[in-house]
Amino acid sequence: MIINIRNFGLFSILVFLFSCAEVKLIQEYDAVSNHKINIIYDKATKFFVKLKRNIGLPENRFEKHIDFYDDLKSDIHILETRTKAIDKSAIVQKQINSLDIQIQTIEQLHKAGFKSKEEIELIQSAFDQTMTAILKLQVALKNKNNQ
Amino acid sequence: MEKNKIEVKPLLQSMLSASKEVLKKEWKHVAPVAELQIKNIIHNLEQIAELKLNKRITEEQAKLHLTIQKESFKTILLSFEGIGIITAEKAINAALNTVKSTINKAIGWRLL
Repeated sequence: MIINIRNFGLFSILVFLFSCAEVKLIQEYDAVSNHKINIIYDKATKFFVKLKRNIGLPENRFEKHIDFYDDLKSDIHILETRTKAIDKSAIVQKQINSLDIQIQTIEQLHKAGFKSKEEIELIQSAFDQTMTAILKLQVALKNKNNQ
Repeated sequence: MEKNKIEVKPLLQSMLSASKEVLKKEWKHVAPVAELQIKNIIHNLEQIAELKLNKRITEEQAKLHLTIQKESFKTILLSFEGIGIITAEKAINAALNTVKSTINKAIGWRLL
């Protein structure tokens, strides 16, 4: 009788474990965040194109691009806040934080002035790699949801 | 080593080792892409050194450029880490589903 009770108890625990067990180690895909990331990438790419075209011209002066930095910083702040609200989003949060540092560093370089196209291409190359990495993880999160 | 010249091969090896250490089990899945991305970063580092050597950027600017490259590399590693976690999550859930279906099959009706 005792053995039967034990077996039933064990069975019940197993049933409980497996019925609620969908293990979640990382956040779910968030379409709004993904959309915002694409917007940031779009704005930054257009910015780099303009900078390369206007190299050596007064149009490239930092003062003429303050709106761009303010706009991008707002986007990143919104994205950071949204990501923080999502459960198990530590990795994406770290990526957004790194993106923020990159934008701040680009701003510092811009204040000093861009003197060559190569310098901008160098920054854009790193930025493209960053965005590819962020989007790659977004795609993987989306595929996880679709399976 | 020539003064101020970046030795690409040892740098690549050291960045690959660091990445392997971070990614551990996931490394085999991401190695080809990781290697390509690390090579791009090294190419950028060479260019920073060249711009500095030719006095087209100051030391302060070179440091800022290095920060951007370092942060970019960090984002790449984070992406691989995330993809690795997704892979592990899928494997665990697939195993749990197998147990579920085995139990359901043994009982003869859908318990779980």
